[in-house]
Amino acid sequence: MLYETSPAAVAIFASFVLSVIGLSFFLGRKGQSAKGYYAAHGEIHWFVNGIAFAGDYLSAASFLGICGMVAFYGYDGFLYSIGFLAGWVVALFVIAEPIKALGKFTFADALDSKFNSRGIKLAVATSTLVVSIFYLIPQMVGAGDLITPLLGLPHAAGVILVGVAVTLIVVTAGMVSTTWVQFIKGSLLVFFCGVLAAMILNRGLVENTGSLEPQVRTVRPDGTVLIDGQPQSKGHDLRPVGSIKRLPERYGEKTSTGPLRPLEYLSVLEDSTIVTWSSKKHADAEGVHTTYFPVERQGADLLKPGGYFKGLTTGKLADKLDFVSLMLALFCGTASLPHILIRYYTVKDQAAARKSTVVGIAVIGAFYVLTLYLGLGAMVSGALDPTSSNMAAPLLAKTFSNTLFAIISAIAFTTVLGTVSGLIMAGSGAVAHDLLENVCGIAMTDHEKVRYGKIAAVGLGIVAMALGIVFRNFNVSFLVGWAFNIAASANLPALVMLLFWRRTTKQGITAAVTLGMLSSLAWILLSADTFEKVYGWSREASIVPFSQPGLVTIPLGFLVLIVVSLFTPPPAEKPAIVSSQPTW
Amino acid sequence: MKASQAASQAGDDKRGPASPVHAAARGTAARIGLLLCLIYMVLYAGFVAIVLFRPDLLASRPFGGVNLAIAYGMGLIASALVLGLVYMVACWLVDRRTVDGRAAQKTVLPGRK
Repeated sequence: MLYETSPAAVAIFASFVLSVIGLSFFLGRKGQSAKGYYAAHGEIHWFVNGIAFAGDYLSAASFLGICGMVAFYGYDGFLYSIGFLAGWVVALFVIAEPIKALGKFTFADALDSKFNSRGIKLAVATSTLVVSIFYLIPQMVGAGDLITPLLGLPHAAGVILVGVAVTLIVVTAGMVSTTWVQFIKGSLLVFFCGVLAAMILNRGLVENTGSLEPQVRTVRPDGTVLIDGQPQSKGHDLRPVGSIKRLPERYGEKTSTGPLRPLEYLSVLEDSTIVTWSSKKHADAEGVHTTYFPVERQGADLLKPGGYFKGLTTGKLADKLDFVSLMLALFCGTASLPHILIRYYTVKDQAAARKSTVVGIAVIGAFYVLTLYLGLGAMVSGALDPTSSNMAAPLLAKTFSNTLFAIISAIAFTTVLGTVSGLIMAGSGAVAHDLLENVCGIAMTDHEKVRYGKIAAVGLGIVAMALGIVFRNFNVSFLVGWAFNIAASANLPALVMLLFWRRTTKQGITAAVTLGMLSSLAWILLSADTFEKVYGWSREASIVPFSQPGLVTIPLGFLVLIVVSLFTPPPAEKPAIVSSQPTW
Repeated sequence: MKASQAASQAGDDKRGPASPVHAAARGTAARIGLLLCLIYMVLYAGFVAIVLFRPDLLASRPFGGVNLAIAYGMGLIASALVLGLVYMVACWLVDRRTVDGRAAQKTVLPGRK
């Protein structure tokens, strides 16, 4: 579908970006220490840090992706929400306090606190960079893809805008400004999702009698687009879709339920008949035709798993294992993501780390419940673009008012800023603090640590922009899944064993991180999903039994660590280097 | 952290000097955390198991209004928060008791053997 540019959305977005950059310069006006740049002096209040967790974690994929998935496939988007939130339990109960107690600026500090080994630092810094870059690419490409429908600017403009804004934010005041940007973004995102959800409940469910004729979109070899055989234009475009055909019988002749309570909304939806749209493609000499056609479904079927994860209904063992593997990677991955972990160094002590995680869980959990309502609201709003699930939430907002559309569009776009700044910050720490200072052994004064960190951030910002433009035409959404799997397989076994098994050796950790990273990456590159979606080959040619590696590679990480540790000399029992922690 | 410090001392009594790394994992509060984590893992695994093996149950409506899929999913999100709050209170209690002296170490807390 073609979208009209919304000057209001551009204005709201521009004022947001200018104010956060202004704030960054204000926060960065004082001279900085390394502790200030990498860890915000450890002085961020736990509540602010908790909201910033939400701002850091809730990427565009979380907001637009999950809303769109729920709107198109029903319950299955919520499965991701459940997994994404579950990971925070591991972060709170297992990771938060030790990470805070053992580390200084980066995750590598914590893993290496007992050993002072260059091997560990090198392995962990590499895994941090790999995970951060895999996470970064979809964010940057997403920024470019979203800017066209949301703000009406070309792809490259979106990528460069985000790249420059984020680099400025990180370079001016490092972790201090990053934290505040994430705090503001997290608050805005959750607040406006709440407003939108309240409006959905207030409107209730409405029967919609729109046309159910199939629609055909044809892309001709010269790139022009036809809709039902006529050139696409503002006046002749795909009709928006998604509607309720029949409300439950108890509503009789009424076509609208009126305001509904939160759980009532879901139960009425379960008893309704809903029309969703599917598509099929075929190509001939004229071009590639995509036919969109309505499918009548019972609400009860849409509100249970299986719409997106078709494997859940086939009964094949490999499909079931694939699902278990995904849920395991989501559970273990969150607490191993470097941009989340560095947030623990910005607070005063372990109690603050714990409290901020609980705040994070509350905010992120609330957000995921809200996105379920947003997705379902969009599903029956009659406003969906059948070609793009990403636009579900903004288009839903448009059914209420153009102002709300502008606000949601601007927020969706600023979502990218918060996550990208966290990733650039994590990468900057890995390059300057771990690789240059600790692995290469370059002695740095406090001032130089900050300068190298900033140079690394600028470098990463440029790399991020280049990747965002280069990968423009690739399907990059699954890279977030890769990042989760690699983080879970490389980082989690090492961290857990370090904390709970005294016999863990430095060789064990180095081997587990390296092999966890390589094995999960190799598995992904050989999987059926990658064969089909990335290389364009047949799924059957894949040589691994299921696509998600976690179920195999996470236990493999533990196994490698145990075996290597047992074959290497045990660590000397000496107090760890945690002198930077006055609380000990 | 006071709790971990005290726990570390408690550990010293039995096993000689321990590194802070292990003290961090061994403290009373940390043990409560692990127990709560285990509870959540059981709930989460239960959900995954139902999705895999008894998908027919997910459409049932045990509590009248919404189906089990929605109720369990929302329940998992809510229980993460509830367990988090329980943990915060437990840590606060442990902290407060250790301030009063080593005697507090003997107090039986949930999750402590």
